[in-house]
Amino acid sequence: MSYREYYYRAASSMWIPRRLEAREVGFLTFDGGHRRHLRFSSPGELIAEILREIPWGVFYSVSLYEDPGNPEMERKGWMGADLVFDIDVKDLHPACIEEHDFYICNDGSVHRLAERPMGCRRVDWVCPMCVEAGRKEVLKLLDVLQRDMGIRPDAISVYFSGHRGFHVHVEDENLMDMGREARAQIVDYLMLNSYNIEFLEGFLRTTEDGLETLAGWPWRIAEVLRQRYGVPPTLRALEALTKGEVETAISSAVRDVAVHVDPQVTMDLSRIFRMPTSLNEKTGMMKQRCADVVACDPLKDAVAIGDYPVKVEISYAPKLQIGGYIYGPYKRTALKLPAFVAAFLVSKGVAKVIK
Amino acid sequence: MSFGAEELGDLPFIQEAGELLIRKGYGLSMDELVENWSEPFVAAGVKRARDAVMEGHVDGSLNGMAPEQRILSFVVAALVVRATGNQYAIKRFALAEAKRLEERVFQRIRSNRYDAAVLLSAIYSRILGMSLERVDRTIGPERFEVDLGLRDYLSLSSSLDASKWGIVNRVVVGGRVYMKLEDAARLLRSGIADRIERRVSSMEIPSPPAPIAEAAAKLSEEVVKTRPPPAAAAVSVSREQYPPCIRSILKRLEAGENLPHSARFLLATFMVNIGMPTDDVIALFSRSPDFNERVTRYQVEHIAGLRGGKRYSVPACPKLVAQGLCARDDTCDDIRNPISYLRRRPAGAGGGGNGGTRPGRRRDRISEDEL
Repeated sequence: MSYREYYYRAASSMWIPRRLEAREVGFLTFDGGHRRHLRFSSPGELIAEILREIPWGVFYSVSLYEDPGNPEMERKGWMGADLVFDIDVKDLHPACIEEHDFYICNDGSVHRLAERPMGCRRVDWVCPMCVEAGRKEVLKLLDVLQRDMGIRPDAISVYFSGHRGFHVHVEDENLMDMGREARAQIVDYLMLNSYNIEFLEGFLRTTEDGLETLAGWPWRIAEVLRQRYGVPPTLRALEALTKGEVETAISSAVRDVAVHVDPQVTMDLSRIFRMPTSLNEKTGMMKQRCADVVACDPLKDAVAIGDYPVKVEISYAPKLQIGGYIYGPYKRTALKLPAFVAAFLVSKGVAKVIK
Repeated sequence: MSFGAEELGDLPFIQEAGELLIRKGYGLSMDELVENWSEPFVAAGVKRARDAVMEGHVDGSLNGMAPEQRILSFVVAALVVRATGNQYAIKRFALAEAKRLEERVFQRIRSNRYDAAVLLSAIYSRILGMSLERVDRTIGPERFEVDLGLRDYLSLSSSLDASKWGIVNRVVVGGRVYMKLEDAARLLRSGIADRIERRVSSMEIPSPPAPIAEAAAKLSEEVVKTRPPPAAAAVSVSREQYPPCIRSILKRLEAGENLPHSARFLLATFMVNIGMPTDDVIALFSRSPDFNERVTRYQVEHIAGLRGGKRYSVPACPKLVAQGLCARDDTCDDIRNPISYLRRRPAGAGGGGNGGTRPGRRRDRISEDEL
């Protein structure tokens, strides 16, 4: 509905991936189909096609190819890829998810998440707490990327996905040629999946002065332990404080500092990734840059569709806070709402536009 | 620093080593080599080629020879290996030569750490084009002597055991990975082997002189005799029915790639669990350039439960995702373990025959670093 209006209005300010001519572009169409392996040699061409098609979702390859339009992955001629990270709030398990996500069944009945009804559709909701959980994780990720991996801040861009997550793009020529395994190593580092407890413990086998020289993960782990126990966490001090349960204490600190990213997104080099400034079909909001991660307000900033009134018939909707105001909760009602709210509810499959 | 003659004797595959020979008055033409076929470096070179390819290591007796003799013996060895035309032999040779260099660096570390650091740093920069910086940084109780860029570290460590070499078990600060000299020496191996392999593969010998052709033929024969042909899957599951992750690993193995530890563990547990006989599993690995039958047998038998009594299960999909081994495609549906792929895919040609593919009882896990 209002996607057309958005794309016409935004045509001149759409974000375009650098080296567009070497990227594969893909569209999700409104009939649910996919158009992949599209190739555009200029931003103008891409925008013209977006305006012609009015896609439900727009994606571009993180990889650069010699022949991005070739439908066979092996024949595209891989030349390198941006390093990207996807932080999905669902994986962070904030308490709000149990409260606002729900199942809706064919008979129109609504069930809480815990009920797990058979054959019903799960509806993911979004709230400011979800955003805060994601933001916290993004800040953890940025700290590791910059401090440990030495990536320059100006090579990193953070985006709100338009739904319930954040995407972090790294454009560093030095890292472009990393293959799948090298990326898996980066993910493993961030998530602390295969850490060796003796390795971490070994760094605490030092004096209080020694603790001051720590860096990387050993440093972060020590900082968590310092706050938890209120003393410099030398191994000797921890042994006394934890009554010999040092490994348990370290494991628990590891859970606190580990960064939760979706491993597949970072490792999958043939993936197409949502294009910034395009609309997210799950909400009608756009994938929006968060230039200042601490201060950005995605549920307000990412509203892209207008606020003209649209009449909708709503089956069920929990409280929704977007565009700076709170809407709902609603149950079996018909009313006029700003177009961006209507678009959100329709995208979630809980409302229909009434002509 | 520039490499001295003594060092070039251990770096015979780089250009400066050739230049040293010329300075010392040795011509490098094939005719000249054949004319000198009775010189001791020739016999040493032929033996060097055989030792490297067949035994997986180069005899330490070379160390007593003068640098130019050592270089010449390498040239002879490389010509012989190249003349076999066997890519597997070239890979084995390159790996054994890389290990030899590593041993020489370790000797240097034991005698003088400072000198060794300078040498290592020169090898990294001049041969691999990587900057291994000397540092003196104490982090907690550990003292680090060198650091290497993250990207370079990742490319050199990819085939090593992740529980020790994975970056998650390293100190990474500011895009640099901190190490002790011993680690930097060990890390060289794959990069150096790669250089030597490329160097040897690129040698052009259109018509090898008779003595070289003879030595090559003899070596070839020995290689073919001991290296079994690709194992035919001796189980009721055909290769097309394997999950994408296993097919991808087999492809890499056949391409002569040195697989990461985690990939080997996955392949071994998978094959053992679909009922492939241990000998056939070992034969699969024999295609790997760094194959060592004794070690592989021990590990595969361990996984198969023939030693120690417990049989190991195939790592689950989420674990494989984390290790970068998952190659999930549409055919995987929502399986949680590669072994389930066989259960959910009906047997193609034979119809319902899924005998021998039952994943078996719940078994204790083993971490892949034991492989």
